[in-house]
Amino acid sequence: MKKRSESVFPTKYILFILTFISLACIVLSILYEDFGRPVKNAVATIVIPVQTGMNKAGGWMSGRSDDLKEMREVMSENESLKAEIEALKEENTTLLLNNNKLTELQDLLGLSNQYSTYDKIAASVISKDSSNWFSSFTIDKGSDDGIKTDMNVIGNGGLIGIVTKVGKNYAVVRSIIDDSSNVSAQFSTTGDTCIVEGDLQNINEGILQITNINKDVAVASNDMVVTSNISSKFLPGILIGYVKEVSSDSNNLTKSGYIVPVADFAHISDVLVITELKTQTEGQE
Amino acid sequence: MLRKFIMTVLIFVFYLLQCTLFKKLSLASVSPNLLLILTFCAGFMSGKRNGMYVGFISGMLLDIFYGDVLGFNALLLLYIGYVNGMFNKMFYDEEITLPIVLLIGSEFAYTFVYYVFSFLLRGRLNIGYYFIHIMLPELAYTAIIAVLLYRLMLKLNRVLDEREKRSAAKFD
Repeated sequence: MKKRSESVFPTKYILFILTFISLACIVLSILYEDFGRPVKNAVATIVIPVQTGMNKAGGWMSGRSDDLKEMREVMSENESLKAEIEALKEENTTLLLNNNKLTELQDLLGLSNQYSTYDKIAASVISKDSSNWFSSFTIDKGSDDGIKTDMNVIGNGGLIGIVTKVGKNYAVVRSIIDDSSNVSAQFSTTGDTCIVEGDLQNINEGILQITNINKDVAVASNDMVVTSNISSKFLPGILIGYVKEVSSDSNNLTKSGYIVPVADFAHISDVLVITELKTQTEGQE
Repeated sequence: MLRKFIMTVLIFVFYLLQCTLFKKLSLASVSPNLLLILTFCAGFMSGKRNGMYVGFISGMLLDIFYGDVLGFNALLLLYIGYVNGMFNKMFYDEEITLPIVLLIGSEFAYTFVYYVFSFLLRGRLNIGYYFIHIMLPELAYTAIIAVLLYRLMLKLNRVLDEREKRSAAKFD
């Protein structure tokens, strides 16, 4: 048996041929962005539905097991919560007042839920990056649903990432905590710009790095960081996170620091894709 | 023929598990590299040729969905399959030390090359951090899963070998 299969074609030749194909693919895909699209779509038509199904099954199962666990917890929680409600009612009235003030101030800043007016498509996350080095994920909507590259993805009330690859029935989203992600941002308080960088070293601590802040900018912790107007790909005014700390760089010209993102990247399951492109809106104006 | 079919199905299933279930089961924010285990098993148990095919196809599958360039993982896993296939002559059912050493070697080579091309070249020089926080956990997790999977793959390999022998005998 062994002899027969080896006599067909020497193994070394196959190695050379496959190596050549891989190298050719690497070069071609660097040169042409669309290289291999038919193959990708063909593979995706098989893989994506199965992934979606698996995901649903997984979600259902973890939902059931959670249900049981929760039942017991809920019973005991109920008692303590009743007491809490009374206290919260009081707190609520004060907060309502504060909220009015907040919306007033946000209006002044021109930030009042700017992105709630954009058209959005809801999508579920069906798989995550196979390697442990990058943080991108696949969603179950693709070009058939009107998704295009560079569309912004939000969720949990904040920016999550940007669409980098689109297939017929799937799209790959690079999250802002990805090591290769850079987002042009600004402080909502002062309007000064900065760059939000994803970094593998910081992901584990749940923070993002911000750099290129002008040294004269007064930044306090808990300042809001939103996407900036001058970003070429991100729509303006999308909340990214809150400042954790900022310190001066050694060059004494810029500051850098860390922000805590609003979105919980460890547990993303559903996201919203904003179907408006930054370049597109600019073109219309 | 049957081996090819089963291998294709396994590549597909392992890919799905790696991107979904094992991302949920990630420990210390890393998850095991199942396709590398499969490539290793294919090469080590049934020779260079099978190792190459399995490595190439699984690498392509990874590249199609998550690779920056098409072909990078394919090339990497292709050689891992080939190199492990060279040790096929030393493959005995009962032996466990050699496969473990080979697997750890392959996994280390894979993550290291991956680091060099996707991180080092972008100026992320802090290799110590990446070694401790990504490479080492991934190595450990993959090795543990591999010990479990290796036995299953052994059984599968034995069944397939016997079938092939039988069908070859028929033709003689």
